[in-house]
Amino acid sequence: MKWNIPVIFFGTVILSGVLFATDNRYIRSEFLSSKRASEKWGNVSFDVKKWKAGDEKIRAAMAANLIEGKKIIGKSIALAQDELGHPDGYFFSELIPAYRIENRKAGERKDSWQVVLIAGKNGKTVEEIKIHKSCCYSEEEYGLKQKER
Amino acid sequence: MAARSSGKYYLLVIFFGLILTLQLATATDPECEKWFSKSGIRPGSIDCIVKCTSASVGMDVFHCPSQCNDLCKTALPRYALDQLTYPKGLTEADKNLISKFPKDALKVFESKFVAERAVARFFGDNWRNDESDAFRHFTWAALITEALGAEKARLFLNAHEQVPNQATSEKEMDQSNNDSGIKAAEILRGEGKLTQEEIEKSALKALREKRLKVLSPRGNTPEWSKY
Repeated sequence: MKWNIPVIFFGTVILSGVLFATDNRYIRSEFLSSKRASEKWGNVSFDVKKWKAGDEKIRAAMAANLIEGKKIIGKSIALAQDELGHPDGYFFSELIPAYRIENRKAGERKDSWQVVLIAGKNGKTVEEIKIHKSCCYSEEEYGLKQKER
Repeated sequence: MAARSSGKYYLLVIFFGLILTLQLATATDPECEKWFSKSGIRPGSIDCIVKCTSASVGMDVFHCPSQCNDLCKTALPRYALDQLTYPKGLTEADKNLISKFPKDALKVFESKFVAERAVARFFGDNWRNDESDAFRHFTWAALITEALGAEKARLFLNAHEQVPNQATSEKEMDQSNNDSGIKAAEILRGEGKLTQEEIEKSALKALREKRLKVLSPRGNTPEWSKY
């Protein structure tokens, strides 16, 4: 394969942009820091049993502490799912466990949030926990125009 | 606005990465790819082959230096694929298919975005095991069928369902709704009206008529509307 300067240049520019974009924002994604999560839902100490049995409100209150405590980090995805329960949210793929912590009801005008467990490069252990805004984004924020058909 | 740009960038780079994969991919031992990747040798560099053939090997990868010629050319695609696509949400079967059919994979990826956007439009949110999940799978499957045909749609969709730890009931739900989407697309194609709008209407109708599999119904199926 022959490389030429424009291909390398534009490739590098695009790569840099995308790596930055995917690293920080993933796709169409907004995340909440643990600090802001504390302000929003409180900061109750994470307890596996209470989390598993709890509703969205109880889980939301533990979300910040779950991130800060890092108790799930490094555990296998399977074990994390055993501890946190069956995922009820959705983030990009069924491979990524997600747990709802705030869900807007029909007719409500507020955002929905979920805790997502991001795996490391091996895809098997939890590397990071994030609080993701699952709803709602404006049309512009989807990053993809309506497909014209 | 920033997210919109990042989405466009993302698609462009994936396309770039997939083209690289298409142009460079050849079969090498995966263990050797790992060994090569760990060695830190830069594929495509002038001294790649020299460094590769003289790199230290263990008993498990003793045969790898014999593949240096290919590794120096082909380690980039897998590396690029892992960096450029979103590997955390892809199954191994997904990755293999992307390597094999990169241009088709781009269509599959784009269709996923379109389906998720449609879910957000009608249900507000993408959840799991409810009507939004069923709608997402149906719509995604139908859109892929529209773009690539039923056979390839099944190939990609089945690969994406190879999720370890996923409950059998969930897998069955996803596969059943994928299948319904493929069949609906075939029917719509036969009638000459295979469009995104008709796919969405068909999905909502199927949901209302309880023809889609839903494990945890929320009980709301909206009417079709453009926005």
